[in-house]
Amino acid sequence: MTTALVIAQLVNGVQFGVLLFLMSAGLTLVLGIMNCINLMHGSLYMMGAYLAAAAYGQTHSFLIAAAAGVLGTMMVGVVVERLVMSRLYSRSHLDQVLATFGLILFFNEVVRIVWGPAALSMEMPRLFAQPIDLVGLPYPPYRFAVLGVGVLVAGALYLLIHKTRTGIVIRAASANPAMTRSLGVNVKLLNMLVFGLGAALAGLAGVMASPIVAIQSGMGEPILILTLVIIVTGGIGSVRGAFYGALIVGVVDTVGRTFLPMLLRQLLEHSYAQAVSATITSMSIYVLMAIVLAVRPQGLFR
Amino acid sequence: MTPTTPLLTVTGLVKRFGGIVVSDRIDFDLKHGEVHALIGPNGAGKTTFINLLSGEIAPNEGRIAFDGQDITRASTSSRASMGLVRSYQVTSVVQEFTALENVMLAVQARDRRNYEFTRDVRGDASLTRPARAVLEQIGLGAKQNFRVANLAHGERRQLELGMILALQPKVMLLDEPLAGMSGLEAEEMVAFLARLKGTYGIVLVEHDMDAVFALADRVTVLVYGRSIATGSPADIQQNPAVRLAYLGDEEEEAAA
Amino acid sequence: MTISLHLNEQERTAAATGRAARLGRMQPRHAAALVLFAALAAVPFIATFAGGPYLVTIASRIVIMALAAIGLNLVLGYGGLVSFGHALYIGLGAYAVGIATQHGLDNGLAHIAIALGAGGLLALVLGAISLRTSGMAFIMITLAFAQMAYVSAVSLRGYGGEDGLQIAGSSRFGPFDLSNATVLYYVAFVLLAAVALLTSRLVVSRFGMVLRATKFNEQRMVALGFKTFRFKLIAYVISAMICVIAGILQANLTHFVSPAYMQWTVSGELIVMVVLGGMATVIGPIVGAVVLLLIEDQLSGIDLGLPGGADAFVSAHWLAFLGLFIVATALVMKRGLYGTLVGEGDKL
Repeated sequence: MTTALVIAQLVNGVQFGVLLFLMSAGLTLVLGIMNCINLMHGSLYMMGAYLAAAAYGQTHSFLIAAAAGVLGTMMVGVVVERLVMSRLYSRSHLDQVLATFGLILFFNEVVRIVWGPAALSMEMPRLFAQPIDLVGLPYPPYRFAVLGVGVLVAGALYLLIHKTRTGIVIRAASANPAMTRSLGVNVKLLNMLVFGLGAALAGLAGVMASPIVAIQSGMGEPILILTLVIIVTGGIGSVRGAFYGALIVGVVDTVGRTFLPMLLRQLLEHSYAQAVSATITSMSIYVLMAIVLAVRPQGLFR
Repeated sequence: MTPTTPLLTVTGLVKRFGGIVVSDRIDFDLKHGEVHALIGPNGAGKTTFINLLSGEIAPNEGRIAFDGQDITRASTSSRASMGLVRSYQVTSVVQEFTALENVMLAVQARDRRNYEFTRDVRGDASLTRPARAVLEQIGLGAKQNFRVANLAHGERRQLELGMILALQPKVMLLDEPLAGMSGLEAEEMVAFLARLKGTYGIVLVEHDMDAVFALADRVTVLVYGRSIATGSPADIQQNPAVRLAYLGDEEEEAAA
Repeated sequence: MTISLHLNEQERTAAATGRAARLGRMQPRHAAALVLFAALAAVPFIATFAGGPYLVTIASRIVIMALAAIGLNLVLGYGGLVSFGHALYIGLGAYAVGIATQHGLDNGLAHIAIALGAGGLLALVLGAISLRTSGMAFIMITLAFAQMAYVSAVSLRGYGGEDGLQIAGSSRFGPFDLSNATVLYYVAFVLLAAVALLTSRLVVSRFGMVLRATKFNEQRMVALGFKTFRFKLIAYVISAMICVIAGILQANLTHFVSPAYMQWTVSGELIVMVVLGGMATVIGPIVGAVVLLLIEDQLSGIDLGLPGGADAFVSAHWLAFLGLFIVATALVMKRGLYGTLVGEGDKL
């Protein structure tokens, strides 16, 4: 266990966390402002990956693929918002859960109809093909690019929310939706905007994940559940909570998977350690969430 | 515990919401069988005070003693079990149940036998008989099988009162029991409350001054979270600080 | 005894005062319930004439899912708690049978004891944590915990991992066991009827009244002195254990268990069944299970001779149509199919 390996895994963890932040930020805003559960957020992530892969297949340009992924997903999001989500804002959480669950099934099948049941793949952009040197270890530069994009987007989000008029309205709506409505803010437009923004962020996450993961039906749900864990742990409606929560979850998950087996192998007999560590590493995030909720049910930053 | 020791004692109660002090070092006490009214202009913090007494919000400083015990940190359900119960400004009953079922819940709460899983409550005389008695007492006997959603506003408020009576409490915190009532309904409610005097300790928050002067043994005036005067209704009427607080408000309203 | 679907004047008045009409006419909803149970009871007989063993199998699956749905309804319909993780307990029940059988233990009572013991304990812990939250957070946490169980099951390499575990055997109860399809079906049916009956008693018992009132107005219940957390937790544990029993039956039906039994999509389907059939009614979940599973079965094997290859398209991509059906259910269904018969208010 070298320092270099630890650093590499930490960077991996932060990169994963950044990806999760893109997902969490959009979703926590929707949850906080429209008070609407949206389980098909993972489907938007999936659409981002699929659209990017499809566009890349036609144009072999990563830039165009990325644009297609982000903008295409945003448009899908807006259409879904107008047709389904807007009817759900005043309904119970149960109805929202059911409707968005139905949408998950629908989208999971739609991608199979359009692109077939086999997984798509996305080439790693040539710019990032050569590994770079990270404290002595070869490291894929693409992950740094993801990190960079993520930090940029986080910064842009911060500016949007804290330094613009739209941002003030979003913050107000997040803190007190009813009051904001009664102050004459065009709520329909705001809802569409927030949902579209969330969809774009999810799409971006999908685009950035596309060279690294298998692009297939159902790929959104594991990410969705991690996103929900982050939001619940960080505090519903809190973008700051989503930021720190995502980083923590990203690092804990990555580091846990790598180092916990090593640690357990020191303490337990080998085959037993394998079995136990596999179970525990996959559970570590949920245990973290359970601990946070046991102590502070409203989340860390609410 | 002698009857002259207060049933409820509040010392130095403070509640802040962010930078705003909503309850400012309030001292308050309630003697056995007494009706102690709490009045004050809008926004004075009367409902917050009731929420502090019922345990729905926790104070930042101060102490609340009830029936000889310190309940400052006690939960709402514990306080209710101990005999400190409340009614709400906006009637809080189970709309989807009938009047009878609502009162039966209160009887059951007092009875403390909750973990029965197969016996139909509708056939349980230990619940239905006391519940029907209470409903007769509050004048809802004829409508006991009506779903609350089908009752009039005044009847629902009576029902809520009936429910807390069924708990056989020691102290009742009544948050504007006459709110939204017509003249006749209000008179009946005041007459009913008058019959409760002496048996229960009652903290009464009200805007209706006729009711306050008809019922209260003592009155405390709350302005901007501070208790500015406590005394008999007659004393309070004469108190210059009180007149300023109320009339001052009226002058501001006239100027606006 | 005649059955009328229209309320006469007396019944309308009786409905307004909330009293059940005892007029010598059976209420429509009781008639529907009777027909449903009679039909389910008759399935093995019908199967000897038409449908064969396949009919018994699909009916078994429906009855078992209906049982789980009744369990979920206790917390969802009557308790007002949207749990998106009840499939966890179905899987746990199935794994108890699978793992025990793997180790040579096929005693049915042992299966039940292990499953209910582990399930009850887990429900107690997970419920206690989840119930500290409410609303959105509660839903998301139950989903997350179910996912945790799914992921744990996948990592159980000794018991099949992601591919699942074949179960060579059945639960034995003395001289007979659940390997016979008809025996299994009737055991499941009797359990369904029993749980339905017990649920109908529970919801008007002292415990049940507090649970239901808490759903409607928790503030008032707390103010009356009820420790509402306890009631919700007990209801959660009871509902989980009902799902565990469904899991035991499921394992005996399919002779197979895999992490897929605990997948969140199964939890979602359970919720659909409850809402589709009618929340806060005893029979609703059964109706919902029947309707949903029949729709799934029909869609995936559709053969209506529709033009332009539509049949093939629908059966190949039936999940998309199911998804849209569920969206429609959420947007349109107010009280569910059976719930509409019952009318307003929680009832049998």
